[in-house]
Amino acid sequence: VTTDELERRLFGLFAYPMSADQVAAVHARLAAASTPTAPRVPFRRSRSRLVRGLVLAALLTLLVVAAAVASLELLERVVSEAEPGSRTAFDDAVALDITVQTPAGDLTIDRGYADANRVMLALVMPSADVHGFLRLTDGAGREWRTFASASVSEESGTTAFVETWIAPEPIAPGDLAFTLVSQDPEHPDEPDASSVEFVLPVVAGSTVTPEQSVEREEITMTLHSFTVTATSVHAQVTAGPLDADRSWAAASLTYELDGANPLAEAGGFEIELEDVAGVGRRLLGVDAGVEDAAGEWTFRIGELVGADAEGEQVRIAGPWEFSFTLP
Amino acid sequence: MNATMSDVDEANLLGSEAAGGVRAAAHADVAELFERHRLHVYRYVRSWGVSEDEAADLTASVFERALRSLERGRLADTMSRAWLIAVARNLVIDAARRRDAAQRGLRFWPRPELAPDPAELLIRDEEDRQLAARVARLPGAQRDALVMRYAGGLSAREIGEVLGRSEAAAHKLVNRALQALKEAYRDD
Repeated sequence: VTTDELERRLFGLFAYPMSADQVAAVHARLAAASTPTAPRVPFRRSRSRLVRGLVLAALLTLLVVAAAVASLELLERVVSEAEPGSRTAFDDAVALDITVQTPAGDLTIDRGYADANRVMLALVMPSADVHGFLRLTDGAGREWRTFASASVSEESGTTAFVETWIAPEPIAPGDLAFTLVSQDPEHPDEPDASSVEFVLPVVAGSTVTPEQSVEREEITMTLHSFTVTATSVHAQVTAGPLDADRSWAAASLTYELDGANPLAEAGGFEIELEDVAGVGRRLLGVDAGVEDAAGEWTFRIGELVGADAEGEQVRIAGPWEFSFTLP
Repeated sequence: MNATMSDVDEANLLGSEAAGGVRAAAHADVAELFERHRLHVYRYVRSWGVSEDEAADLTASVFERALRSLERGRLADTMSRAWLIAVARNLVIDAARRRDAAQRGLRFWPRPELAPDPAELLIRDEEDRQLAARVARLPGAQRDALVMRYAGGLSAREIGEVLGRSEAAAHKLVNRALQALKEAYRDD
């Protein structure tokens, strides 16, 4: 089983739906536990039928506009606590406004963003209790890896999702077709008709494939690719030989550009890529990007930490340091 | 030092209005927190094998605690999903301890005496059932971190906050759990 499949299974295993009755019951308990004192504003009724008609027409127009505004506000709330890279992707996204029917209701793709490292889609659904899976493939047949998912629901159940997928390899700029499939968790192995195709412009990134190797403490670390976009930094590495009985992670990573460290405050991540790029290859990344990536880069892995099944750790100090130029 | 009756009345009135304002603001904040995090909190609680009704009850208790903290002056900005999951974890452990100390721990299907509707379970097929069994057999810390990740939706940093460990340690717990599950698949 691949890590992707395993993660998909785990998300599905825990995706308990919360019923509307339960949500209402919690709201009632919270209301009982508090005494909101907001003043009631009386509604002033118009006696004129004409005025009532005009008000109704205006209200209907406002409702249509308000629905769009509400969706945007809900999506804004999703990204309000996001890492800088996700925020940038949301801000730079192009409008799509595509609606597709799924078993859980109409799924609207409000906007999307793609660059050499990632795809971000901002979605709105009428229900919060969605436990299907969204799979993303591109026109070249590559399956993109689920990276992050965040959502916010409002009382009516309308839920905004911001979903991010990681590129299986650095993607060239230009228009790229994508297919998004909503997979029914009740029938995960059956083809699902809830799919939608769309095109996104892939924003260029700066990529080098240094294939540099550095040996420290008898561990050879190889940097295969290093890609910087406005939303993220991705480094693909392999390391070995390593004790196969331990689970290994890279630690104390630094990313220097012309002697400065523009990503010091950003959150990092590490992902196994064995299912898309060969056993042992890992993606080390930062969910924050650099607008102008040109210059002299130094990528440093400070140490490797290996843990066995009992939690016993060994640490191998590097550093493994790679220097290269991004055009 | 000697306040007149009218001074006291006015002070009480002002105090009452201020308290009412704080309560209203706290209620608005907790409503927003609930909208934002309720599914993850509920799923996390449910993952401990408690019934649907008890999970809803415990979820309500989590947000009631948040409400009380807000009314005491805690800022909503400091109440992250990790904070809510930490509260949920404590409540679930307390409830399980009260219910049956010998059987506390993570469970992936309700106990027979709760007589759940099988349609509620998210076990879709035999592979899911095997996966649930494998997760249940994981070492406690790994299982705890795994459920926080996939039911509670927490990042490694947030799991570290809840467990009082470093981000790297939390990350490794999840990775080791995944590795153990993959090895179990391979061994089969």
